[in-house]
Amino acid sequence: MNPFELRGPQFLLFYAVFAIVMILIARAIRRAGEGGDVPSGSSLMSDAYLLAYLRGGANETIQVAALSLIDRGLLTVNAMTLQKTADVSPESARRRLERMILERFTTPGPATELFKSDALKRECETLEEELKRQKLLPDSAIQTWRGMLFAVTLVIVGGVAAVKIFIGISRGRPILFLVILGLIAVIALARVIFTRRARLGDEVLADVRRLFGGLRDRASSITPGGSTNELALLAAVFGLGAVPYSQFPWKRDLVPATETTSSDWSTTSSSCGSSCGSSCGGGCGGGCGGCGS
Amino acid sequence: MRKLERSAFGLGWRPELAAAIFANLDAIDVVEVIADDWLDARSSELRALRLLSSTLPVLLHATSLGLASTELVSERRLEKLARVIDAVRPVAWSEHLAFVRGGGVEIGHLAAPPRTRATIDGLAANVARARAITGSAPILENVATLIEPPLSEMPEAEFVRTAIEACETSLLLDLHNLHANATNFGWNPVDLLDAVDDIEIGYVHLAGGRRIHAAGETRILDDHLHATPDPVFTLLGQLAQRREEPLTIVLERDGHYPQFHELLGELQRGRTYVDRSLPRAALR
Repeated sequence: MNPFELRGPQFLLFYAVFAIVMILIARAIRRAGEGGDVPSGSSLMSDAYLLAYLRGGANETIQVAALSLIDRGLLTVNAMTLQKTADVSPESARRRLERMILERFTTPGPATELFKSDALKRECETLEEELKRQKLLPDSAIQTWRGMLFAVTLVIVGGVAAVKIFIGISRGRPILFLVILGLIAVIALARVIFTRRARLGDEVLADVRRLFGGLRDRASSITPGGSTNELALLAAVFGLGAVPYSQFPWKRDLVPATETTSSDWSTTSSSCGSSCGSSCGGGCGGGCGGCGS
Repeated sequence: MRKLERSAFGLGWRPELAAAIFANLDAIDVVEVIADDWLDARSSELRALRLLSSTLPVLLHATSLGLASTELVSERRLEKLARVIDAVRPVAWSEHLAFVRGGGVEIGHLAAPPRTRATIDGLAANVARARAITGSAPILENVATLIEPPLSEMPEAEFVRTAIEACETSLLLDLHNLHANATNFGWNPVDLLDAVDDIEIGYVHLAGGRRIHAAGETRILDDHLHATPDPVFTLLGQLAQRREEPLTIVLERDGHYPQFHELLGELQRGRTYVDRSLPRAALR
């Protein structure tokens, strides 16, 4: 059977199935080329900002940094306005990103300014480089590989459509639906190939959510005051949506302004916070208390 | 077991403590994961455990094999455990000198076996089977008990030493179990330290428990829900003094979690006891 001899609706159906299969094959090939292990001794699991950047990008990282600074008493928030706490030196913050935020809010300013600073975003690029080095975000090699995969699949998917369009034009048939379907296929292909994270990054994020599942369950027991890094890790892994208002009421002053501006991440903090990380966390602990072990 | 240059301190891995553990990696050298929680895990879940072991050393701790028994250990259980070990690549794995089932009936907890030659023979056979299937022998842990195992032919210290030697493995010395048994049955815990003086210590457990009263008697229950008591730290100091090699020490806590800094405080107290205990070699 020559598919190019199929009539309009039949060919559209054939092409839709063909494009879906090709896109799924391309996705499988992409993922096969992006696996591996996190380098041994990686600081990823203890670095809230690396995790936040992996999950959501620069805005998410800046948001977690601001949250951590507020919790540690270095930054204050009131009516969606941020200000460095009096008598606090920016040098008392341990990370450069944190010092830059403190310096920016030496004088009071709206929380939305956090996301308008190119300097802060540039600082976050150091995190991006580290994540690329660990193959969690696509580095140049992965980008090149993805480009080649996209081009080859595009030639196949687009080529089949182009041939039929040529035939249709030569026979005076309508081609609009096929052109639209072809464009949809190309857009879907691009979305499947050019994902923000590499496959290893997706897997690691899912693993971290599994490992930290218990943290979400006991989020309300996290003690305010920044005595540990738990709050930052909670927000980094599950988003600000997982931070309980009951323990951190000042979140109301920070979140409304920031949630609407965090648009560069494909999975929002609130949806991730509520949907992930529970598959294993509840069932992985326990142990052998009381059994004489 | 990997040889260390200095004593290592860690915690039992519990999801509730996960973030706090990672937030305090400067104070935590190792984590101990309950193997039984992962025996039926999907590959994707085991991958999460692998991520953990790529970040810091993991010890796998099994609780349900029931090695100290004349019954042959289940091959299916060992194969499941081997799958976890292969996926996680732990530093070592451990089990208890205990039985958990008999005649097809699950007891539901770790029971101290009769301290007899027959038990040791059964244990050695099971450890050999475990070694064959998983690729390595478990480090074996002394267990706490509220009753003296009936039909026992030898004191606990002799039983532990003989068992470890028969299995050609090392000892997971649970100092709270030692403290509990010695207190419950009126013997000197140092007797066991003496008995295992030249036995390799795989690692050490610290834990806490509580006193319970029944039938006019008082016993210490090893429930892992309370802070490590003073006598256990004293035993740790005595152990460290006897040992030339660095120790690996794991604090077990299974619930009633305090603020994390209190757990870190227990680890720090352990470090203090180990550091101030000069090994015998240094005294010569």
